[in-house]
Amino acid sequence: MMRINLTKWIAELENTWLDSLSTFQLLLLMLVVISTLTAVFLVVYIVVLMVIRNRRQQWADALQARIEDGIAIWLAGDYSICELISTFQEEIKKDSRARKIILNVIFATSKLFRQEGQSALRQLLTGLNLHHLCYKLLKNRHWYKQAYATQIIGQLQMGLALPLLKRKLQTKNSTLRIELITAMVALGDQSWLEDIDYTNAHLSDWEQILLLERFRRLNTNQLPPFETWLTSTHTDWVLFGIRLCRNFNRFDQVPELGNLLKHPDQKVQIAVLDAFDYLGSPEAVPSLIRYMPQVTGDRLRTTLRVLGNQGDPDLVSLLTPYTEHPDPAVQVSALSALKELGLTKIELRQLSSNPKYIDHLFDPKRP
Amino acid sequence: MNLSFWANMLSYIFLVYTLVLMLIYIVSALASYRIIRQHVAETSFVDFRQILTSPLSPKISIIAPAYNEALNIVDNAKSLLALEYPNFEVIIVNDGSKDETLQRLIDAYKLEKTSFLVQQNVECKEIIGVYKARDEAVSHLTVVDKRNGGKSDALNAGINVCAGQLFACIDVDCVLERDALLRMIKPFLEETDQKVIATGGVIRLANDCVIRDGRLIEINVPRNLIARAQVLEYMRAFLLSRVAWAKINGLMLISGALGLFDKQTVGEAGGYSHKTVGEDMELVMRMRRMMEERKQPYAVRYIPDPLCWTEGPTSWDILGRQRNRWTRGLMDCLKFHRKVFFNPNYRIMGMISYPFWFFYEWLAPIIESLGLVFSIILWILGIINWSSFWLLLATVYSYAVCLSCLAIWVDQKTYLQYRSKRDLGRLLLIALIEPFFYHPFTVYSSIRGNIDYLRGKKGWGSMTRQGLSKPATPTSTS
Repeated sequence: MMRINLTKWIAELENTWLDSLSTFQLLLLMLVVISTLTAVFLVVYIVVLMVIRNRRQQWADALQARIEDGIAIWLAGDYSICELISTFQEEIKKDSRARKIILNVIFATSKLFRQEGQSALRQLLTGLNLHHLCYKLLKNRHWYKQAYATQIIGQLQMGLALPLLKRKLQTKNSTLRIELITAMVALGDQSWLEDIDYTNAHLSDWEQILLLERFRRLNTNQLPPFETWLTSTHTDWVLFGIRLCRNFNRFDQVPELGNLLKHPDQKVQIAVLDAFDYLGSPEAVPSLIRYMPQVTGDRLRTTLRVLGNQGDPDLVSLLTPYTEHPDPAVQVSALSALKELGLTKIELRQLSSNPKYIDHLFDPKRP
Repeated sequence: MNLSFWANMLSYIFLVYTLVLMLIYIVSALASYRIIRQHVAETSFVDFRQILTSPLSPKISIIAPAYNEALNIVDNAKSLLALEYPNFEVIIVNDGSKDETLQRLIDAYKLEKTSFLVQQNVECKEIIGVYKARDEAVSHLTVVDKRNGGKSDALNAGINVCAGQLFACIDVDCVLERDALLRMIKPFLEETDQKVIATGGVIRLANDCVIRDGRLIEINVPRNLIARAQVLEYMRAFLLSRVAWAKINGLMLISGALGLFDKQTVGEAGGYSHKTVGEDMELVMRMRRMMEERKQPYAVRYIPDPLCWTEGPTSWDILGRQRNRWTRGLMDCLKFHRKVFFNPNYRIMGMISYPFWFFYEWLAPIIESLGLVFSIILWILGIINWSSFWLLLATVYSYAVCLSCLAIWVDQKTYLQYRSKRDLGRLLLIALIEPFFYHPFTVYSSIRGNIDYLRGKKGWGSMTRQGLSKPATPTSTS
């Protein structure tokens, strides 16, 4: 009875209300239906996602715990590698998704070991045929899966994958490129250096931070010839070269760095000043003296500070005129530099028209 | 006949306006989801700790203005000092507080007044003193005591004192994720072709979340319905909209609660304006205008990760005042920078961002209210088409619910901030009922803001904060 009524009602609705709707109203009706259906779909998706995620999480947690236990027992010597492999193969047989979790655990474990400790884990990985999974991931269309595989290859020292890594080096994705370089450095391959165009390629500060971190782990003889980058036509590489000279204490490059104070890019000039400040080499003084009259503001203040830190009394006459500079900040920097060069409070008072500056410089609570 | 014609014409105008707005929202929501997924995948490979040990990390100054924050100021300072970053300083600016804000800091950190030469790069009221700690462990804390001048004045004082190349402006009562600075610095380091002038981050509501020692321990959906509706509102705004705007470099607002700025650019632009209560948006607009006029390539970036947790209003009164202030701030910004409106010289800002803010942020509540008035008039005149009326209402409602569900879905697929069934149920429930009670109120507050603006009202109005995970205590903003 109810069904007949409902059918009758729908038919009536179609014949009367729906037929009477204008195009404008039909458009609105369509939007209501689409929005409502989308909202219902999203809610169902969210709920299902939550349920599945919780179940998967429980399964994954339990499996991960079993794998970690297995590896711990194996590392303690209570399991042979064959026993471990067959145990893990059982897990893979039960559910193929276990491969990914096993790979994750092996990778996480490998981070706890030094280079020489990786061979046992590599043996385990190969025994389970998971190295093929890595190669497969390396060919995946998603860069982040490739990056993950690259991390594993580098970490576990899988040298056979080197040609695969080299082929990918031209990627435009900077995160993947850095991972590839890291893996190649870990595998002892420096050929990536040949593939980089120092005259044209961009190198962001972020990439410089990542590369510098890698370089710091290398021996001095393993470092790339970064002094050649100082002559690159690309500012990013010049900057990186300067920063590496600073970081690796390349005093022999001070004259070359001095020439870079003529570079049109202010970032390069500031990086050189920073390098001079850090290195503290007296060889930098002539370049700084030539540079000083050409600049103002922060660069001039840094130059004054670097010269002041030299502690050379001969520089006093050179810095004294700057105590009357129109920029008060420069005046303070000049006075501070002169203080560093050994001038007393009384001598400085004679140079400055503003006693507040002198009091500030000699304030014991000054930060 | 004539009346009916005009009624139809107006109906079509309202409809087109609504449809365009719906289209913009859905396009930006889908684009945002794509961008967030990409971002999440990418950041899973980023080891931010590398910045911690790098000598190349630029110095960051955190500027936190404080006005009558005596009760929580020490805990808040502790939270800021514990952030993860290798090279940073925390500058708390006491903006002429009438309570013990300064004294509590002095006592807690054994601060001493130091000699400090302040360069007046940007305009601010007189700085009475600068305090530093003797203890090396907190040597990166500076407290600036100054005459009261409002939030923007306090921020300007902080800019004058700070030494970093970049500075972060934060509300002192916010809780930041420990790695917030590490994440926010990345866009500044990544760009090679253009200068990043500012970066913003996602703000989330911390009402009813568990916070201990300045750290967020447990995330919960608030029990209070007003706060809960704001959670959803923030999710829609931050997850479905701003990400897409940042992608096309069209972002005009970096929230005052958390933003990282290039100090040089801010200094050249003149710092924060004293003339508006929307100082955060006004600064970004002025910086962008300056860069456009100089024809310098630049970008305003945005991090979709939840980085900052703040307390949202829990009463209608305070919420109303907040929205009123936001509207007045927006009107100021639109008025000050009207030159860029559909001006092709300002590219994205002039042709897309500004018109969007004008038509769909400022005008939307007005159009919505006019639509309601228009329907009432039609009803009185007896020419209302009820089918159209109810269908339009149903369209707007179902679309609003759909968009809220989309925001929850994006959160579940990416950051998964709300994990429990209870929280999810609460969010879905509020998505269904919020259009009936919360949205009308925000529209009403916005209209009040417009009226107050035309009457020449200035100032922030008082705010009462409950305090995050702390007993309720009244304070007021400057």
